[in-house]
Amino acid sequence: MRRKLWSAAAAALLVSAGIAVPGPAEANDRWEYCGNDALVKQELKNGTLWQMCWRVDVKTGLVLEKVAFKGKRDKLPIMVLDSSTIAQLNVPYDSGFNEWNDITSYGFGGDFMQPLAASDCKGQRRGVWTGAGQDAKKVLCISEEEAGLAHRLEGETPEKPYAKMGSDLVLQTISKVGWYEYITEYRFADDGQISVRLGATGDLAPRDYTTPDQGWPIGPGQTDYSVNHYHSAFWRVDFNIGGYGTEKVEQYDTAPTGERGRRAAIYSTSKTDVATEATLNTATRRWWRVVSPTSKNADGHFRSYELELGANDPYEAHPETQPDVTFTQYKPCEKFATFNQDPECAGTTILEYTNGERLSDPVMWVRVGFHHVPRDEDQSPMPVHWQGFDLVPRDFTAQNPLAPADRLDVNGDGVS
Amino acid sequence: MEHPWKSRAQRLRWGLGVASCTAVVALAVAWIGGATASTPHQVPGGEAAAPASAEAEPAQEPAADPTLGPAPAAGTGRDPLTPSELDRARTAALAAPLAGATDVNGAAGPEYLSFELVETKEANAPRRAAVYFYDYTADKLVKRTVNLKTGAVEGTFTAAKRQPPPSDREVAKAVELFLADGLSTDFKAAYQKATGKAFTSPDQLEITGTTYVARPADTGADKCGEHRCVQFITRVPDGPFIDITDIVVDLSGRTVARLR
Ligand SMILES: [Cu+2]
Repeated sequence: MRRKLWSAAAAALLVSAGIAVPGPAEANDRWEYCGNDALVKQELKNGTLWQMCWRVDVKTGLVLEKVAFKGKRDKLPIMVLDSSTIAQLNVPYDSGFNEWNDITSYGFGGDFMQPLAASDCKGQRRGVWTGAGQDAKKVLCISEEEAGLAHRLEGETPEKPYAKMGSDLVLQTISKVGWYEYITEYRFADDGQISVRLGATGDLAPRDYTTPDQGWPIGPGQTDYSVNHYHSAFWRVDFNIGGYGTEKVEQYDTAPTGERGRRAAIYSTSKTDVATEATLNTATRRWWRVVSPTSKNADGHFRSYELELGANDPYEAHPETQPDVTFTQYKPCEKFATFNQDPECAGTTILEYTNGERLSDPVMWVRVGFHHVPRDEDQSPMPVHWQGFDLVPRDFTAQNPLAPADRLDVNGDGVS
Repeated sequence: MEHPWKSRAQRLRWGLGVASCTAVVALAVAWIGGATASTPHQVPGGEAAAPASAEAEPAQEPAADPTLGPAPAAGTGRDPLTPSELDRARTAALAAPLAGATDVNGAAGPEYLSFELVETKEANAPRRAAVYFYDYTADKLVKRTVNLKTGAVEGTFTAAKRQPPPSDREVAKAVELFLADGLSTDFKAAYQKATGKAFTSPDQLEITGTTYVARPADTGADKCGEHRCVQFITRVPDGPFIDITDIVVDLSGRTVARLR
């Protein structure tokens, strides 16, 4: 039996106090963020609700704004993101023969954004106006997808574990640039995680064949060496935690102290405030979070989201594609990680945006590179290959937002 | 002569039919927002439905795709710009004089490129559109912001060396310059060889244009970036690929070059 430290009445009290310190977007703000055609508002089967506004920008394609999360015990949705877009996609060939900038030289919107067939989308398809305004093309797919086991804990009998199957709200658009078809995907999990990904499918570029040290033979024998290349992508993410904005950025590092405890080496975790604009790189056990200085969960902890990077090939040939993550002070005209095209801003790359300003409203630029060595299976169509990152809630809710009612008394070390 | 060749939109007919990703089971979906909602505007932080019990699973079938009705005259908040908002913004932005500006054909007035909804964090800010032009006289990108509530042009910003994607008109002009240039001889011969037909009209090609900006080490068209330049990805409809990605058309300098 688990320790029961709270009575059922106390647990109910905790639930009703679940929304601590309502932010402007939680309680007071009656601003209509967008109309129905632009609103995605969906409750997942476990009771979590996500809502946001979507639209298509001619260059960045799918734009999400005002993204809010509501756990099944929250009274109101709590704002997470002010906006998120892709901010560049460089495609340089290992042969040095070509380098494309798919966002700033083509764009993911306009004619490049593909209409979705029913076979492209297992959920609901949403349209945008085209031409004179009366023709619509369905470009956004919204679906709820199974995510597997969300949590599991031994219960009172073997037949009754605390087990829950999770699901994700998935938004996708497809943009065709050249022979590639890129899937812009956002995956909003019922536990609050946001996965941001770019998928690449379509076909390999024809005629881009090269020598063995720069490619891979994908036809019969050893003749057709399809060129190796990068898909080096950037995203621009602007948080708005609790609707207050003005987040702080923290870097955490854990290192061995050189000392030993009773049975094992002692490691120490330290925090470095990223108080001014900075270009940063990964290291073993290093991570970053964007934390609200205002919005707290029911445990009195400040709400934050943590950046989790996975597989990632940096393209070192350009200085501006070297940083893994860059934090800059918010400026609406800093839209693209490289080749910025807004004349209102003097800077054109993240390196120029990073010029020593204090971070009172940070924008996070995440670079995720994928070095693609073609394989026989890439013909044809090419199986989707993915690149991206996760935004993981850290202290956004005081406990697991999917927790069953009779686990709510487990909060802390169990000694009161 | 607005669109002498097949438009980019026509590429769609061979760009479809891609299964979207790691297909997982799609669940029944309880739509409580979007175009199927009955209240005109759902307010975040507002009347959210009571959360369903974690144990109860909604059993509804997925809703049919909502139909996008006629575009409203004006959007709300972060809605996309409506076609009529765009019309008004573009007209207002063009009406404000821009001394000496010329378009891709050398005619008076800048070349229209694109528009966007202006980003804002102000809760009750009026919706604003930004309209982008290229001024071929000054070789500068121009952004004009228009307040959609008042119709006023509120800001004009210009900068050199900014090269957004080309408009259809610009791609058409670039194709025209390429086909009139001696550097298209090889392409025409390749077309003849691949199809058995003479290349006589841009209609025989599907063309996507992309802006080319020279990196410091690039040779062949090193003015590009300062100048507005276009590269092509071409496809013979239902036919072979003829690679002309080495060709760069300098629309500012009216020259055609081959990258080395
Ligand atoms: Cu690839």
